[in-house]
Amino acid sequence: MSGWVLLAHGDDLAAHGCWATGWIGAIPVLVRNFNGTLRGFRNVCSHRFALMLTEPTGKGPLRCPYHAWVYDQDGVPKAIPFNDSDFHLDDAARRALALPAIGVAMAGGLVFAHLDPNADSAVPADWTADNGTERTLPDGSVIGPGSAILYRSSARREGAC
Amino acid sequence: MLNYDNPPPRRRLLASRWFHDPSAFATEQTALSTRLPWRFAGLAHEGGTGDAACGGFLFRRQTHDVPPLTDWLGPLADRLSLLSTALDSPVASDSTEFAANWKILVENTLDDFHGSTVHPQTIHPAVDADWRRHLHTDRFGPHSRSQWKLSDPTAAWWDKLVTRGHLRRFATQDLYDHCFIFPDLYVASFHGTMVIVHRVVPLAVDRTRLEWRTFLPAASDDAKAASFRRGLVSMLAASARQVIDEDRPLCEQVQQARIAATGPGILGWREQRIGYVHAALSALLPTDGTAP
Repeated sequence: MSGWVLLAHGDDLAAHGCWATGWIGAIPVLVRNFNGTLRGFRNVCSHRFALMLTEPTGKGPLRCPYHAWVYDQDGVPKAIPFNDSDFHLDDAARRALALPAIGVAMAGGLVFAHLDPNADSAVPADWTADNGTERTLPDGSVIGPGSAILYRSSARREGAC
Repeated sequence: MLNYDNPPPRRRLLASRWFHDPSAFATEQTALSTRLPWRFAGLAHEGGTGDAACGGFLFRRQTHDVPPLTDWLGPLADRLSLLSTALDSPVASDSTEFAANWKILVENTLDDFHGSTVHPQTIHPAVDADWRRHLHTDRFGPHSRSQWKLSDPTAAWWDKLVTRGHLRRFATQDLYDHCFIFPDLYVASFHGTMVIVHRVVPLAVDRTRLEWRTFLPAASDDAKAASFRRGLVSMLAASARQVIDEDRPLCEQVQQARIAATGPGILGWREQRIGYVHAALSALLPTDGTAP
């Protein structure tokens, strides 16, 4: 098991602000397009640990719905409501609350995620050679001709009570 | 009243296993049953039994050599006694289950500033727009209380309800008042008349039932006012349910993600009531119960 999981089709993340979510085991993750660069993080707010993005795909800021913390391309909370009166976090304190990064790889028009941000991104490329047939990937996902996603294993949470 | 002009201590939150691990849940529940001196046992008017009462609120003695109940409750004993004057007027009861650990529900109800994001059409407009200035919070050991000034339109609306429905007020206060008794009882009151008693019932490490009873005391038996109150009760019960239904998905999102958190989390100044609960629990739990 390489640890890479299929997260989304590249088309889902083609524009700035587009994001996709999934689970690597019991860990919720997200990948978002930040001005053309795909960045991935644990999908857990650093404040009080809420799952932030709940739909499989979407477009918009990386914003926690609980208290409206908004995170930037480095996973650092850039907007914290009531910071002036309630948190008093300076830049260094905000950076200390950055979301843990994950690994992101693009291969065959598909987006893959790995909990290790330094994981070998060449691995998923070996999975995606299109031979015109339906294939089951090592993570259990199933893709068809043209990199169509027929089943995405990361859509379901696993391993937690 | 602004009582957040000094930084509170940064409190540690319990580690994630206390929210996900079934064995940790068993350990915690045993500690709450054997090491906590007093615990809420029900309401007298519902035929509940307890070892001591504070007004209509019954409590079970759980350990030997406990302090008197009034000492355990501190200044909130007077508050519960006052709220008890409304308990002769039950008008609605409801419950719902959350796919979340019970402490997440407690954290949520003690969180004084998710109104604008989670309750933008319900709680948020009901309180004064300058709520940070008009929010007052007090702590009494593991218990705590927050008071919000109602917005002027909401206070005026309640004044009309009091008049038309002949509602009885136990206190003349234009407040949304939230009183928490560790670990599982909280009582909300509005405008010194409507009282909602909530009880958090742990079912499993990741499942909790929230029960609530609504009380709306009347000052007369006037038939027209009684008819008005019946319609009002339906609306108020639906509103209370809506607020809970707004909270539930967020609580469940915390349950889903908390196991994956790698950082310590952080509490803002207006979230210190949550810190008190974590500190009280840490004191009850085995010494490895504190985070990290």
